[in-house]
Amino acid sequence: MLFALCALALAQDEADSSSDPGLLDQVNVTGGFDLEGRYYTSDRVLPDFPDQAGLFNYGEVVSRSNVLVDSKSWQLGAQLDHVSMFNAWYFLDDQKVYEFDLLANGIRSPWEMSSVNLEKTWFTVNAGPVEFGLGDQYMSVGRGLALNLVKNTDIDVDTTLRGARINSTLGMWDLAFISGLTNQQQIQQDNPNRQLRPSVHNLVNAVRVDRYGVGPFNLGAHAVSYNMADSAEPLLASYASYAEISELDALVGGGSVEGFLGPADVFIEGDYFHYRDERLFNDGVNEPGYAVYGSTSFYPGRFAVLVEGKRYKNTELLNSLTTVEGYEIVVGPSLEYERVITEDSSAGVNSNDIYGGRARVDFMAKPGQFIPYFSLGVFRDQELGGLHFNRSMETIIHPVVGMDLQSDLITAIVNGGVRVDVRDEHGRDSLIHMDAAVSFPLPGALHGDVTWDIYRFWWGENENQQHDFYTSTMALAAHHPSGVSFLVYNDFTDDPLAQAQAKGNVSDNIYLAGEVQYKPNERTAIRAFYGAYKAGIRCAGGQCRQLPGFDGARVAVTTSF
Amino acid sequence: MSRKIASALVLATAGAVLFSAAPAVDAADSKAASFTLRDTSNKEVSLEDQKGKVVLVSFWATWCAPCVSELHHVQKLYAEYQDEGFQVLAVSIDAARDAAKVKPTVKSKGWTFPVLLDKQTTVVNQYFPSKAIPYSELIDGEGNSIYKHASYTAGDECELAHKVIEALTQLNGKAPEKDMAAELCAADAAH
Repeated sequence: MLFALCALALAQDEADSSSDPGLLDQVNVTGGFDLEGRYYTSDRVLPDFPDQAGLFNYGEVVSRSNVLVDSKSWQLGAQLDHVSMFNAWYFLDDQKVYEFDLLANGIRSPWEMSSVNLEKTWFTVNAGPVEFGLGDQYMSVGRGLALNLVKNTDIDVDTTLRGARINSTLGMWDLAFISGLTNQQQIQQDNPNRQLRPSVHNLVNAVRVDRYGVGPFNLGAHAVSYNMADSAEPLLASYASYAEISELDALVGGGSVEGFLGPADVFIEGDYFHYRDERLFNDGVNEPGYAVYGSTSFYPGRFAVLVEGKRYKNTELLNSLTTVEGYEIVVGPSLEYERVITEDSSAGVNSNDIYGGRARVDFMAKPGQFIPYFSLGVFRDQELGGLHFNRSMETIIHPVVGMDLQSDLITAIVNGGVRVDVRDEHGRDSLIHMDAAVSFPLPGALHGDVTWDIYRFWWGENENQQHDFYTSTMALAAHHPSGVSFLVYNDFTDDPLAQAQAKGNVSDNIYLAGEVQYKPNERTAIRAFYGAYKAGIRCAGGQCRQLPGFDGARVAVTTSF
Repeated sequence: MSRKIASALVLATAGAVLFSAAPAVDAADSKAASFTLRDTSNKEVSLEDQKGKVVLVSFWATWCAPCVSELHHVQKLYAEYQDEGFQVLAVSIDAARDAAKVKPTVKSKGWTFPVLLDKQTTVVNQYFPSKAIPYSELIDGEGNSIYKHASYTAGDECELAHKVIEALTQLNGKAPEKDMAAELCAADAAH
């Protein structure tokens, strides 16, 4: 039916624009191609062959091609990813031993250590107030609490719903509907591909209706249903297969009110989570979940004030089924300064039992040019066990100060703060952090910029007592107008958890690397990197990933047409 | 380094050089993809409605420091040229979960151009599927995309100013009264 609607929409569009050139005459083709070759070095040796260094060195080439065919009323797009491994094996007694199994878990490829995958394909038709989408689609509902599948480039996470989407704007009404099977990114572009995993196709249906202009308010309501694949049907690939086993595993319903009340904007969302699959029960008990999120912003004089509050209970249970696949499917606002989240505090980002709020005040000391700010977050994390290191509930207090300076010569964005996780019974963890991004002039025609993150963490008490640590990440760059840039990277960490994954190349604690970039034109960039950087956790968009360290060389080209 | 690995890296480099040696495709005459989004006050804004203006579509997010720096300069161009047919549509690709941050950021930075919310990232997907921001396209009065620019390094605003002035000159049949390129490039040269 959807195909018929698309065809009708196209025909209608043709009829409406009979004086325009033919449909094919209006077509644009654009795209991009990214290619990166990486060579990983490792000081790991086999216990019985300590003199055979370099056995575990290997190479990897990844590429991504994007093509977008775009007309006045429709778009057709595709993304093709590829990975090839080199030298990811060694010989022991004349037997070839693979260091890892790239194609495990049923990924098919004619090559043993290479794979090509059509990661995304999509087709969109714009027909006046209605837009139809087929293929891979992104969708978030409300503030992402009930469904949040959008691309997260920061940590290389990209899961879509492969199915059908309709977005419609009819006067003061907006309607969005999607039905699809989850399609996660299989070939990592930024991180090593040591084992590719096939997509696990969970069935998701979502509908959202918004009504604008009800007095000063906008009202919205949504519902999302989840059929989660399980071990008995790990590779369900079609709607038909779900039709046979049609068991609803979870249902989320919610609504929101947004108000423009004179000087203040207000937003409130509430969601209710109903679980039916026992994998989603909390310690074997079927407990529903609920979430309430609210925000308000107002602008007295030279101030901009944003206040947010949340109460989430059992809202992350669905993620327990998808994190193993490499993504989260429901991601509400965490209200945290996620850039400084550590292994310990990441539990608070995705807690199943947490409430709290954050207030941020920006002061336009020199409007548009110098804006200092202060923010304070206070949370009560009541979830225990799991990824939480704590054995008792904790109160998190996190003040942050910072500034944004935009002058003609220098730009600087600086943030710093202190986070304390005070446990009810077992001491507290503490973190002091600072980060800065500064751009400044250099002699000659050069521009310089430096980005620097540094923090010190104290663990307090916990069952698996870890070491307190310092960690620092710095990048110093010099850019020439000809398009050539030189970069130096310097990481430091004395965190044993990070060092266990990758030690420094200067000393155990110190990682050093250099990079040359060249942009011959607006569409092309070439990068050559040599050196090492540290492993560590990175959080962005409410999702946290343990990213691996690196020691070796990289060559990359990015181009678009 | 084994010979195979060295060969692979050499091939990648050669590919890179070949790509860079190829002339950039002239973007002129390619139609910009149409879109309609809501702004921070939930008012609908359509690219189609901007016909007859030179439009800069700039994709950004609250967490993107280079985007903020670039838009600082874009604001200067907008303030000077909006009455001469220059429009800016700054499209925020902040996810829905971060939507509350957009308006306070815009207010605190003093930006006066329309800021649109692409919470589902469907529009940026039409323009730039890799979604690496900042990313900007300059569109002429006929809806043709005439300049595309990815990323931002201090000094890039000089070239952008030249492109905007060129497009406004073509649109209005005369150059804008004030030469913002001279101002922005002078600041750049002072570096």
